[in-house]
Amino acid sequence: MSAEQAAARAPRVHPRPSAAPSAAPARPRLRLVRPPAQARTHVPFVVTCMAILAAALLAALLLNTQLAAGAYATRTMDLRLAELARTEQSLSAELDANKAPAHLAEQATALGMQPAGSTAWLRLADGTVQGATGAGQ
Amino acid sequence: MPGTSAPRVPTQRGPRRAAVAGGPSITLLNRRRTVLVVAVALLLTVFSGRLVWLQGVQGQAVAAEALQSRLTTAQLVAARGQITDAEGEVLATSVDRYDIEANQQLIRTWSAKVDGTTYTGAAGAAQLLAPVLDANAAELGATLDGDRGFVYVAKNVLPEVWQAVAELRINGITASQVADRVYPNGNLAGNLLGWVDAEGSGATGVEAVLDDELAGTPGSTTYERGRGGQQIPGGYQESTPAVDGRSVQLTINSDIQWKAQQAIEQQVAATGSDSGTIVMTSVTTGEVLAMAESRTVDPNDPGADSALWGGSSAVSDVFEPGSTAKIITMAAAVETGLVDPYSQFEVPYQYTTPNNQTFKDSHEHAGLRLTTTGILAESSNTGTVMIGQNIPEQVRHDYLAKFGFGQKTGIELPAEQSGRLWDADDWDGRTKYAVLFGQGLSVTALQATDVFATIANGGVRVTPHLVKGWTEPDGTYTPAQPAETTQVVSPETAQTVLTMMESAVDEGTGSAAAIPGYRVAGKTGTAQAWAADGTQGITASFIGVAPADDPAIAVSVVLHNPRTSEWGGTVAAPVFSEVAGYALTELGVAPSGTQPELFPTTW
Repeated sequence: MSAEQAAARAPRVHPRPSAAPSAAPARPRLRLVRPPAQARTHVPFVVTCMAILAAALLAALLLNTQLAAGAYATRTMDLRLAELARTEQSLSAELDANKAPAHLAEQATALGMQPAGSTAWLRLADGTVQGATGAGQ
Repeated sequence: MPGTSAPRVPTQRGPRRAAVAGGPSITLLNRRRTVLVVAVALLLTVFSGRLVWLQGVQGQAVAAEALQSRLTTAQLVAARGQITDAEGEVLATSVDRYDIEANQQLIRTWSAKVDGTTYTGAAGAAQLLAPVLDANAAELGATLDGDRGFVYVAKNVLPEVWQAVAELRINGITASQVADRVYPNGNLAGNLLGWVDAEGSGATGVEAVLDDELAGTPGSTTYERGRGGQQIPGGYQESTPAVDGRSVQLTINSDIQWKAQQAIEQQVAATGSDSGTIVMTSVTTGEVLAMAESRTVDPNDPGADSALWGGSSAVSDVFEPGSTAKIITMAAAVETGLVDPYSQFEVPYQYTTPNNQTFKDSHEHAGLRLTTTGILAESSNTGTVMIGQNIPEQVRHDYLAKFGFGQKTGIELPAEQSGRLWDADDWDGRTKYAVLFGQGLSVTALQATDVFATIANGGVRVTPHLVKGWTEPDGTYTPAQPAETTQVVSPETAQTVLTMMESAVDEGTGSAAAIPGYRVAGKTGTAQAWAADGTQGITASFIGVAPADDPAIAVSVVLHNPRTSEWGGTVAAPVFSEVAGYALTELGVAPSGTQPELFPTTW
């Protein structure tokens, strides 16, 4: 009924604003709507994130392992170093004891050596022998 | 068959079935969910409460406890500096040793299976340790048994022994590193070096005097320890590094020191003396090249004979120098212009001073016509008094003091004596003359040697010292500060007196001191001495300088109470010849090659 009334009233043009378009017939106005966005896949992003996380974890793990291995290696080397230092110490102690004048004198006497007398000096200026009595004979 | 038995309307059945098979009603579901939620919430509340409790309230305490269980503190031993001789030969060095300690509480609960046998507690640990430590198992067991947290099991064991003990892995047995002091040359220079006490700090000798420099500062490190004893990386660590001590280089030449020790030991034995010393210094630098005595402690085992603990008697024993001090009288007389080497004297055997003090010569003789030089060469007391009596008393005293009598030299040794030099005002009628020929005052062997070194060094007295230089832990070497020097007499006076002293060796009392190829200047000395028990004895000495034409060394040989002869020229001069001759060769001093031009001794 309302449509009929509307149709009857139609020729009468009232100069009033109307929601209905003046030119267009009573047809809904068409608009161009954007197609709904394609739902893009999230897989690469998630994989990347997981990869980064895994890499970080792995790196930390490797680093820690390396550190721990380093600590063990350090300890092993420290022990080796201490051992070598001890060896060096005992050897140099032995050497010092053998170098002692008293020990050398004892050894020399045991070999049948005699204490040397004074040294003879050859003076180049005049070719004379100085010092030791009976030297140069 | 067409069902007539139980006609049921399917349309009725379905919904009813569904209602029954649909399980609990909505209300029941709701209640169940509520119960679950509440239960989970409760559980979570408990969890989070516990979490807050652990993390927030107790957190720090728990973490600290855990850290404590992993933390271990190790002492960092500061290496004590070495003592070396002038050539860099080691005289004293430190080696690593371990003190093995036990925690009795831990050992009580310890047990282990070794080769199928189970060892438990103190007895088991003792059984395992005994063969390694070379100890009695029963005694060890007694040591390990108890509930004390700390006992020493063994001290100063070798590193390899501790290694073997550590491999037994007995819980509660630990060790701390200590340093043991070793003197590779045995008793060489033992009286100078001294030794260290049980704590490793210097007890006597150079070790004590230079202890602050040698000791260094121990450090410590605290770190988190893993099961294998390794440091947990990135864990807590706090270290105070140990600062090693500095190494000292002495002026001593160990070869000459050895020769001197040998010579004085032999001569003391040969002459039946109570004791003796040899001191050798470098004339120009004041460096002590050797300081030897007839009895020397072995610093490796000082406990062996406590009679040897006195240190170096060359600086701690005082004696009346006797005729060697006539050098000072002559220097004073020449310097003040009273006499010259040619001055002529009629020297009697006996001489009485204006204040009625009578002095005699050592040997009876008719009146001699001697020059000043002759008086010194023949070591005439009467002649010396005749010369010296014209020197004012205070001047006599001042010269004695300038040459270093009555005061310490400041050498780096403990227990140095200053000797005794009375003030001139305190000299009685006899002493004021006696000091002219070295009686009525007392000196150390080092002071007496120093006088001759001063004359030989152009009248310049160089403070005698033992330290040549220092080596830092990083290896940089710093020479010691040059010794203080003072001009005591003029170079001309010193040269004159030196030449006069040559006559004493050439044609006087010290002829036995001659060294083939080298010119020697020196002076014999014989003085009465009083032993500690009040008996009177004799100190015989010879002090000399070589080569006289270009002095390098001053050497004193002093013998206390020789039995074979009381004359310094007989018992001490030959030792001078032997030791000084050896040293000249050792130091590479060229022979003199010149003939002495001596002053006349008679007229």
